[in-house]
Formats: sequence, C-alpha cells, structure tokens
Amino acid sequence: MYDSFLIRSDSLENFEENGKVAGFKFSVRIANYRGCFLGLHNGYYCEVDGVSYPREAQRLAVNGKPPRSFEELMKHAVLEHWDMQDEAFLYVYKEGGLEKGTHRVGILESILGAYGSSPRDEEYVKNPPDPSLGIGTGKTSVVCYYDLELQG
Amino acid sequence: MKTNYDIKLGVSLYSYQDNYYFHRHDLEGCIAAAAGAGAEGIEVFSDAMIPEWPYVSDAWIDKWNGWMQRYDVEPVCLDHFSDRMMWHDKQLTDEEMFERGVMYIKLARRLGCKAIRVLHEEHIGPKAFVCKLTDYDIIARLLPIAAENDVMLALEVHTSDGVGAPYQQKYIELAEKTGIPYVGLQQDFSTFSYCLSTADIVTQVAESGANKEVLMAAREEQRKAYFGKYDFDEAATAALIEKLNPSDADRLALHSILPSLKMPAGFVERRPFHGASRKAADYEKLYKDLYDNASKLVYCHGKFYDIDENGQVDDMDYPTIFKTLIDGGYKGYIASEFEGNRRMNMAGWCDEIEYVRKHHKLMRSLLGRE
Repeated sequence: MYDSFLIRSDSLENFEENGKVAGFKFSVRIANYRGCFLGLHNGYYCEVDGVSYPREAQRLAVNGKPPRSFEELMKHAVLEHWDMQDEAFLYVYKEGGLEKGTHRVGILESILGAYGSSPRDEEYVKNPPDPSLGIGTGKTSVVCYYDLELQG
Repeated sequence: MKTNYDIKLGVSLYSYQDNYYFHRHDLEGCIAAAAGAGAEGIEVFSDAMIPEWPYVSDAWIDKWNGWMQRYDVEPVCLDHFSDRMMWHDKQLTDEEMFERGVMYIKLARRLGCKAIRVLHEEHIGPKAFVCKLTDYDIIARLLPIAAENDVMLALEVHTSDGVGAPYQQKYIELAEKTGIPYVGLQQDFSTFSYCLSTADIVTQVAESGANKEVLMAAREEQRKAYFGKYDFDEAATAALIEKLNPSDADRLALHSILPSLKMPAGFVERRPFHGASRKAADYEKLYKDLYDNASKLVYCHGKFYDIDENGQVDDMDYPTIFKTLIDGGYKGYIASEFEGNRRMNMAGWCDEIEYVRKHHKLMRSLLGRE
C-alpha cells in the first residue's frame, strides 16, 4: 500500500496567477501499481484543515503539461498514461492560498476501475461519482492524511 | 544465466514494484536484480514498467533486447489485462477486447516473449467478477493469432479449486479440439495457500494495531491442521481466540479465516480467505489435479508473500508443490511473483530484491540444484 507516500512532504506551496496568489498545490503519486489512463481519473476528495475543495476547484499538472481540469482530462486524455513512477501536482484554487505554517491535508483519489464492465461502471461512465464518496479508489480506499509545512 | 533444465526459473518484475515506484531501481535495475537472484527469464509488467506503453517504439525494443543480452536473461511473458474501462464514457465491446488481446500478442512477439499472461474470465473463479473479462469466445478468436505469432495464451489460475476445475479444463479442450496448442493453464501457487500469511499479520499489526500473538495463534491452528492432514476446526479456533480477549482490530483481522468470530459493530462483510473452508481432502485433490495437469501447464507463478526463518514460503507448501510438478512432468518456467511488498511496506521498507533472492535459493534447492 502506498497510503503513506501519496504526497511528498516538502511539496506544499501557494501558486500565483496574474500576479495574485490563486491557490495552493502539492505533489501527488498514483496509489495504483499499474498507473492509469488519465481519462479514468475522476479527481480527488481533497480536504485541508477540515475544509473540503470540490473537483471543480482542482487541476492536475501531469506528464510535464500545464494544469488541466478533470473534465478536460476525462474528455481529452484518454490515451495519455500516468505512469506509476511519475509525480504529478494537484492545484487547488483558493483565493489568497494557505497561511504559513503546517496544514493537515487529506486526499482520496478517485480513478475509475480499468477492469470495468459492471453495472456500477455503466452508471459511472454516464455520471462520474463525487470523489468524496470513496468510489473508484483502487488500491487505497481511505482518506490519507498528511501534515505538511507550507514551503516558500 | 541460461540453462538447459526442463524447469526454468524466472522473475515477474511485479516483484520489484516498490523499488520501481520509489525510484530505487529503474527497469534495467529490476532486470539486473532478477538476474542477480539467478533468474533466467523475465516477465514484464506491461503498463506499469514499459514507459511507452501501449505504443512501444522499435527504439525501446532495441534497448530491451540490449538488457536481455547484457544480463544474460530471456523475455518469457508479458502481462495481459482485461481492461474494459479504457475510456470514461464507454466500455470496450467484445470486438475491442479482442483487438486489445491482439495488441498484447503482437507486443509480446516484438519483446521476444513466448507467452502472455491472460486475465481470463475465470481467473479467480467460475464467475469471478461482476466485470466481463477476456472470455472463452474471445480466447477462441485469439488462438490462431497467438499461433501465428508463436505466443502462448497462458491463462492464470488463482482459484481455490485449481487447474482441475471443469471450467478451467475447457480451455485445454479448446487447444485439443482445434489442434492449435497455443492456449493453456498457468498455475499461480496462491491456490495452495493454507494459512494466514505473516505478511498480512505484519500489515495488520502496523496498520490497525492488532496483536501479533493473537493472529499468530489462529494461524498456528491452520498450520497444525494442514500439516497434520486434518480438517481445520473453525469453530474451535474461534473459541480459542475468544479466550485470548481479542481486540476489535484482532477480530477484524481474523474475519477472513474465522467467519464465526464476533465482529465489532458496523462491520462490513468481506470475501473470506479462500483456504478458510478447505478440508484436508480438498488439499489432496488440489495436489492430485496439479499432478494430473502438470505436463500440460504452460507457465507457473511462484507466488509468495513472506519467507520464514527456515527459508520456506510461510503460507504455501513449496516442497509438495515442487515435487508434484516434477513428478507430473512439468516443463517450463516458474516465475517468482513476490506480493509481500504491498502488504508489508506500511511497516517499513520491504527489501524485495533480497526476498526474491531467498525465493530463488529455495526453488533451486527444491529442484536439487544447490
């Protein structure tokens, strides 16, 4: 299980857009030993200091490309593989970013099962589930928490 | 190191997934580790360890061939997966699943692998998943293509009733009926697991705070039953565990082998350990089926989760499995497939390379080679 290793401990930082702090980001690794095709990545349940941030506020920077929304990944990255060895960055929009100091970050990835073909999957292809439901969590089915010091 | 033995030893690179995930060894390093353990064959873990997967360039194949030469090993098997869910908005049809199978066969040939490990419909039971995997009809369509490419379709059997089950035998009959000997069964040794693995106990102790002594006590009853050749008494073992005042974590950890143990409130039912209800006679039948089918098997996964202080696999009877395969006339590869990593790495770094080395030493000694 990679539950303790999904976020690199020195990776939490604020990020800027148009000269203003627009949110925060941290590194993420995939919990599945096979990697995945990004079209199946359904976003994260992401919680920081008890506040949760929906999929719509999240972007994923992976494979050296600029951050992309999960809607875009699901529609256009169907043949793009996220290798099990590679680190990605999860960008989360929050005006002003995070305060200095240590933050408790919890994540649960929601990647739809590649085996597929169950009635449940049929439903998910039409209506991707909310990542907070703990669906499509592959090899890690619990929210993993990390205490991270804001860098920079 | 190449040999002329009938039974050859290999390593599935799945065994080194933590070394790969945590960047301690790249693919070449994993191949070198397998060669260092004494392996002669390499099973490549397709989508995880081929960076260009699934569109592999000739340049990468050249690099792969170079590694095979440098470390004096040969490619043996490519891992096939039956992924119906490739796209977020549709699932693969049978036709597309067949096409995926063709892709695996062709890539195996380009890599020099003589087999693909196929995730077939019955790989963990007669109706394994709610998902529909690569089923009999798709296998039948793939068969001529496998022959054309000289790649065996090795159907991996993980089930509790082993390779003798009629729903597995139908594939051997398919090869006989069509006269195309390019489909066969692959035995994964996990079928013969007779007790809770110490790898799982390590995980439970590290993750949920279960008591090692309580879990080991239950495991010991399973071991006594297996080696004493009597039926494991689940109710008596549950009663014995109750006397040890088990914690909630202990109860949860033991549910898979002791379903009658009282569970804490809010417990969600899980699939039991496949050996939980097996009787002494069931093991006898499993070994007989293995013996009867040994000469027809096309590949074996030497599955293991942990190795004990005597150098034995802690939850499978390797001496009996090996003797049965040898006596039954098995010819082909046995590839180490270490799965203790995922179970034990929460408790600290799990030295996969050393585990595989020990495993190969055990296998060589069981084959009378050291």
